Amino acid sequence: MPVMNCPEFHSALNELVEQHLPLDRLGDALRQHTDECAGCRTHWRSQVMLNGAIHHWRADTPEVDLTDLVLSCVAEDVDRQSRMASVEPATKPRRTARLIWPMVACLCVMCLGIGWLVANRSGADPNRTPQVAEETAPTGNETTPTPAEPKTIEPPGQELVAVVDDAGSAYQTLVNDTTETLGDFKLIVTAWVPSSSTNTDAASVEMLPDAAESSWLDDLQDWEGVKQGLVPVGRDIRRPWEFLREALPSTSNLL
Amino acid sequence: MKDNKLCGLGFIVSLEDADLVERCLQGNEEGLRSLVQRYQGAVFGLCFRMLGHREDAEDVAQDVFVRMYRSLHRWDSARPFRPWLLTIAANRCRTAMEKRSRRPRPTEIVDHIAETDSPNNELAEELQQALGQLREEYRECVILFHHQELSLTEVADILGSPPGTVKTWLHRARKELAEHLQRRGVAPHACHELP
Repeated sequence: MPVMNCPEFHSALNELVEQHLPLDRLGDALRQHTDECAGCRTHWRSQVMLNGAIHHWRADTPEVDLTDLVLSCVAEDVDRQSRMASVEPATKPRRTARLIWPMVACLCVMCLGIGWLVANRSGADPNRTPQVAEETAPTGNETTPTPAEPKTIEPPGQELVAVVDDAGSAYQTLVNDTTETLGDFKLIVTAWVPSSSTNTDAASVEMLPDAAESSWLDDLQDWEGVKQGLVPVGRDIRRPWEFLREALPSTSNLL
Repeated sequence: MKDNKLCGLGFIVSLEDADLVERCLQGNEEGLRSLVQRYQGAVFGLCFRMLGHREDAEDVAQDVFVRMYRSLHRWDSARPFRPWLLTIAANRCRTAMEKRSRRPRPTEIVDHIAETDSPNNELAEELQQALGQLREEYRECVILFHHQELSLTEVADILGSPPGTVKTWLHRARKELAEHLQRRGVAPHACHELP
């Protein structure tokens, strides 16, 4: 027979309690431990006593018949709710009227959005058709190609030229925009910072980007007040600026 | 093992409960009557033991059934009905106790027990008094577990606490109750075990 210690005994007793099992019919191991340990025996007896008290306490609960009372209460409650429901429709139209205009606005926005999407899609279709035809053309397994196909396929050379044209014009636009922005920035800097060189303020403002070369940044670096803050900015701007200056003529030649 | 048996039994019962609930939702008065008759003992017992006052318990039990009727459409038929209903009852009892704590009440001790002076009734009264001295969560735990004979998991669901916590509450509550009965001189030989 396994020997049980006190924690094991308490744990086993708790399990019996948790499973609603009687405590007075202990197993052999538990019984042996209660015979040997006085403390656990006292604890076990108190728990048995408590279970007996609980048994009487539970049996002592009075019985009632609430059925009719509950049914009448429920009937009253249903009546009250139906009365409230009959009053509610008078207030409902206001709520719905309040909700109509936001809903109409949302609907209009949605219609506009859908219309815009449909318009964009229909505009994009003509460009998409040749691409589809181009994708289906190289299969090669078809013995009788449809007569419409060759008309929709553009020669590869023209396609390439068109792509290069697009890329070139986009690049030119980017260069122009950047040049304009940097020119504006330079004008602002030269107008704001009084030059330490021989140039006057008016001359600095009128100075064009091409004429300024890189001396304006060098001049700026000599000026004490704002120099510390603007030197990194100037350094960062100089690199793309010089790159663009070098790239612009070559791009123009290409186009 | 016993939990499994209870679960199986609960499943069978819940099928009948589902039928009654369906009838109630269709406006059938007999369905509601059957439902009330079936559960009024459990609901009133819980209210009576938590509130310790018969009239209050009757009022709260009525309120529980009215609220049950209003909320029947929210009951998940996949789950047993009784714990769901007892959750409503426990919540209503808590609300009633909060209201009662705001207004003083002269007598709150169970008042029907004094009709007979048998030792068993005295024992029950002693235990009810001891319950009244427990912390609220301990009391709820003991009532739901021992009076309603729910499993620890069901008690945990009703109280909204982890089963481990409920287990701790139960054993601490039992320890305090046993100590109270010993202090009050309740003789162990006068008690007998649960059937």
